[in-house]
Amino acid sequence: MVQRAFGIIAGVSGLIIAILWVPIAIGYFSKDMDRKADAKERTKDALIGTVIFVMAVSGVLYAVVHYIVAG
Amino acid sequence: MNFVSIIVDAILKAISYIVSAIVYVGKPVLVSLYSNFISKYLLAPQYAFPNIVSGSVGEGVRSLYYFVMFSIYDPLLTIILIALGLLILLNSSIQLGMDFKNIWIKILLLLVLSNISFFLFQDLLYVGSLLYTQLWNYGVPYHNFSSGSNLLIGLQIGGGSGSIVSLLILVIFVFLMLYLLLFLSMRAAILYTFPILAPIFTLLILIPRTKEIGERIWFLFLDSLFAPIIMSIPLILSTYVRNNSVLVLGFLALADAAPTMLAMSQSSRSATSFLGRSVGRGVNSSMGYITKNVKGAEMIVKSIPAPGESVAANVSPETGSIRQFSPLNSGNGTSSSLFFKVKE
Repeated sequence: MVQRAFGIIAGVSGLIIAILWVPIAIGYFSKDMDRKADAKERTKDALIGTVIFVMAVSGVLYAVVHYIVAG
Repeated sequence: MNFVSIIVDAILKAISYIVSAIVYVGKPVLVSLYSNFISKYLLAPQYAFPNIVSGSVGEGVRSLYYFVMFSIYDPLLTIILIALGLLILLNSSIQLGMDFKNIWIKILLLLVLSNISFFLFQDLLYVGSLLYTQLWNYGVPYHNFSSGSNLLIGLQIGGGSGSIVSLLILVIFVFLMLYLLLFLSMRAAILYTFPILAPIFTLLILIPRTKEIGERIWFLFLDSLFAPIIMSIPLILSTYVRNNSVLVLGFLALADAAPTMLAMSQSSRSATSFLGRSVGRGVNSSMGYITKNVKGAEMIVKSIPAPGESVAANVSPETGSIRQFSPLNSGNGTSSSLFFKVKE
């Protein structure tokens, strides 16, 4: 049951991330150079957001805090 | 002498004896209160700067800290970071126009800070105790503030000089002493409580709307932590006073008020963003209102013909057309008034 819940959470999270990356990715395929440059700018922020989101959802941060507090 | 006057005389004498008795025992009671409670259990270095993880209370602090970290902090951290990560991703994806400059560094620093806050508070207590012990041992035996008799040596009440004025001074001293007792007791409780809550409150700094609440716990803890160091200076000085009750009163009052005064200045500093903006906006609006109305008045005065001038030569005043109701804030602060907008 818990495993299934984890699977659902991971799936939904992956879907959200994929959907939100689409507009940035489209910018890379644009012929307009401004849009391309803009997409490059936005990639950095999107990457930071993705890493934070993935770390929080996957429980990496939870494990790190546990390690710091409990040793 | 009739019966009533005898009774009144007896009552007055009884009152004066009671006042004399209270004043007579007043100073020893104050000395006892200070020496046996305030100094012994609240100002002594081992109580003023305790090791918060040792002893029976320390055991409770430790177990509660672990409970809070695992049961509240971890889920809260996960929720906040999921929301923040999603917001950053959304902002870069559909361009919400939010500013997340250096957010990565901020998050990292705050995570480190919230995780080490408990240990940092312990270290601050240790540093405080090092400073405070020097002051505690200062001036032994006659100018040491650990003794109530040293502290109140300049207080000249009691003995045969019992009077209403002495009683009033005594009452003020009792209130100040009780305030000191209450403040230091609460401070001791803060020293044990806030390190447990600090990780959660530090996390709140991440969210713009709860930033001030998160910062406040640090300010409050630092105020409480260093309060005895600040208080000890007037207390030591009062041991040098001779035959001057008012100065002793002043030093005791300062010892009571100094930490609060410092705390107030800090809280007002942290509240500047809200209070300052509101006050500034109000002042600007009021100034705009006054200026515009003065202009309006000038227009009316100019339009009134001087004696000897014909009315036709001037524009007739349009009473009631100077001010027109408009919304409170028109945006630019110079052309708006508090409630009315002056028609240009």
